[in-house]
Amino acid sequence: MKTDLLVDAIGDAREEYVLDAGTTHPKKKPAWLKLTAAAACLALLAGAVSLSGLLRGPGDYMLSERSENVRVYRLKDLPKGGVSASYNLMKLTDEDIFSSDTVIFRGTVTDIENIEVDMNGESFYWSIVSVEVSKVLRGGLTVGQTVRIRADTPIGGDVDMWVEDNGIVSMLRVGMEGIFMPAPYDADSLFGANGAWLCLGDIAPYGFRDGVRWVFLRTETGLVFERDATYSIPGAHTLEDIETYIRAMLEKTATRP
Amino acid sequence: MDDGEILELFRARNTDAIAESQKKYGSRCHTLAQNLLGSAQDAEEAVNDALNAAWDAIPPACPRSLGAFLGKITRNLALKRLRDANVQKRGGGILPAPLEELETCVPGGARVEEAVEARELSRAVNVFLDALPRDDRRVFLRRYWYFDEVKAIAARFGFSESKVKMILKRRRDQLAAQLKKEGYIV
Repeated sequence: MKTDLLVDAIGDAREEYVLDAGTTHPKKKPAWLKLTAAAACLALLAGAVSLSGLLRGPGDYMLSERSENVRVYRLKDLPKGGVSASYNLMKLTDEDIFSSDTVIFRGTVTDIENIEVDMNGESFYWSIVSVEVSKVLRGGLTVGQTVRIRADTPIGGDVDMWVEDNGIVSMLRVGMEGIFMPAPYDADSLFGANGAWLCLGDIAPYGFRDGVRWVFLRTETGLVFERDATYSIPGAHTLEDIETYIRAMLEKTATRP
Repeated sequence: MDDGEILELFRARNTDAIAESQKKYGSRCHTLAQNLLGSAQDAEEAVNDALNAAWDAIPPACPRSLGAFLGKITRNLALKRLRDANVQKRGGGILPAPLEELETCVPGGARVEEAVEARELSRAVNVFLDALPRDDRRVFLRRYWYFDEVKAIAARFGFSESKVKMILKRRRDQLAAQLKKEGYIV
């Protein structure tokens, strides 16, 4: 087979991904139940949806042709009422993290924009964090450049939402300094849901792979990062300590056989 | 019996380790092997080989997840059986559908660059998987790691079969484009 190498390479998929694919997930409601519910709601919603669609317009982001059936809106206020999302955080070692293809830089948050991504009627609430780069540890960035990063959670003091595994990113505030390790998006970085597709690069060139492991923050109460579960950095109290640790890890992973 | 207890049996060289592994993971491994080999008897032999290989490997191997460890050995041994059988048929054997689909990642007269180290290609595939949304990654791996039928994947995740096929097509195309761009496919 000409694809033997490829089949074998897929066999080397990260163990956590293989296990995640192997877990049994609760099945969705039967189609007839969903149809009944949908029919009951349809009459009530039809007018409102069409009206809101007209009122809201085509969205605030210009999306490429690769994005389908999706609109993205900037939000001033987030919906109240316990909207939540849950993500299953894969296990990663610190070596896995520094071997991945993220950029790494130090910088200061200059803007946070909450957005609603309407995927064919199903809404996802994320944010776009802008960070001004002050020092580059890895990647082709320049000092003074502003980097826009997508996060899987809305951010803000009054946010009445809960998104699992985003504990550290959700602490971000304008003016906060940190070390950031977002992954670059390309034309093939797609998010799909409910029959809609969003080319993630249409809304930001970078994204956090989860909300806890790719950022180190200096907050009023001290240095915040994913201690213990991922990083073991005894005696780390400042961003300088983290910089030293990261440089050592980059050296170590670069020379890993 | 949990994984830790079974692994203790392996380390103590207690042959109950094989029986307990068979009891806990035999069915899943059998399904995986049968997806590839098509024959229940061949699958049973592949699973038995996998359990014996695990017995030889542990210790010193100390897997974090016994299920994933056994699954991977079963997958490798089933693939080897399939390849050996195809060699005997001088390449004339019928490929399981998931492998045929992966062939579309390597179009026409192209081939995966043989000079590429396997480890490099594995890294590239993991980078590709890293960037996928979770649902798509699970669908992709159910098809090309576990070799499930599309119908089974749809039932597992509550998707329609057409949605599963659409995800697989998009992601295969994406993988092919990435591998070509990075020079793994020439």
